[in-house]
Amino acid sequence: MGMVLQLNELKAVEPGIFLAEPVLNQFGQTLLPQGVELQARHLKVLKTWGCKAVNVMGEGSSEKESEVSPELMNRALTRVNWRLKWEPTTDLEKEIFQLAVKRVIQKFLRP
Amino acid sequence: MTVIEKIIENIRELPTLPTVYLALSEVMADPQSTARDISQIVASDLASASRVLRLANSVLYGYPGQIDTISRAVVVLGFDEVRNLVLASSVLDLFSKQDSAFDFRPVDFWAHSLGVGIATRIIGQACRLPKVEDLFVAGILHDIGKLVFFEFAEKEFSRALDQANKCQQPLWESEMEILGMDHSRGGGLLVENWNLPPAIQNAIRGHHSGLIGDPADPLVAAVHIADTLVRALELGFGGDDLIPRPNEQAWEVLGLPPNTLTEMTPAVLQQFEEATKIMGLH
Repeated sequence: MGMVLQLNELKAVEPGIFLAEPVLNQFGQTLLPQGVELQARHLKVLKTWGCKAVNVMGEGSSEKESEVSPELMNRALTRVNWRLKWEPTTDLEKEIFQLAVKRVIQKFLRP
Repeated sequence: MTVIEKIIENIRELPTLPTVYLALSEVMADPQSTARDISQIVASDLASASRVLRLANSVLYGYPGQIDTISRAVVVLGFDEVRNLVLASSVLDLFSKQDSAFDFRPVDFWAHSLGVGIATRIIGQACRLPKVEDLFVAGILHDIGKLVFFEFAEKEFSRALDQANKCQQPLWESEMEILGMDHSRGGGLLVENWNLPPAIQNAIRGHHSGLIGDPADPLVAAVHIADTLVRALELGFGGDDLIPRPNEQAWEVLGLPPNTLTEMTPAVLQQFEEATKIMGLH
């Protein structure tokens, strides 16, 4: 199974995983470049900056995941982050966030 | 006259609910009424009858056979469900303005309302709430106050829409600042004037917080969560582009397990697709 892009919430990310694309702050500055192997100290910094989710390289399990390009994922995250004026912290809030991101991707991919 | 006074006066002068719905309610209050009595009333309004049959045969109900008459719809779905379908169908035609104000287009508003109606029904069924027939109509009418403002205070409502967009704030906040009341109150006044059941009135008044009553009314909680879900899925447009934070207490009232919303999303999307075609909102 090839490596594919996955959207992971920061809290679910374990050290040792690789960033699929750079993490930017709200000013467009790079906090961490693409390809970095995330360690505990990186995760702490990202949490301090209020980062909610990161795009990481993981084992793909469905064809749909392989269709999501980093650019598309970024667009979806940008769109949803703009619409959410709050930080998802509970399971319900995270679920709503994920559904919103998936829906944006779905609409972009619709023929 | 203040904006609030103007709105309230116009609500009082608004035509009552569609004739066919009132006639249905009257007949249904008679315990001797039959499915035939109901079907004759519905059939007299061709537009309502057509929509009711198409909805009854849609994936919303998933009935395996064909429902080809209103009588059959009444037998299969029940009196209350048919009456509420008539209400949902005819309220769509009640407000006459079709043009847009700022970013508010009635067709997108109704699509959002229909989505919340569908999601409320699916959520309520998952919770096994009683009075299943109230779920759909409570969801569809939850934002009816916006149409009241659009109809009777268009200038002020346009300013509220504009402010919500510029300041990236929920529409209800800008409504409070500019009109002095938000659409949940406006809608509550309307459906109180229409004498709709208290449970539906509460669902409209309380859909932002998701909590009314002690113990909290699960129908209100269901509409609240449905509204958040439908906004996350971008079904229609409710007047602002934000996803409201769901109230955890309202979620607890429903007592649903984690990931329920994810599991029900495909059904919400499928039913939305079909229902918007039937209601002519596509």
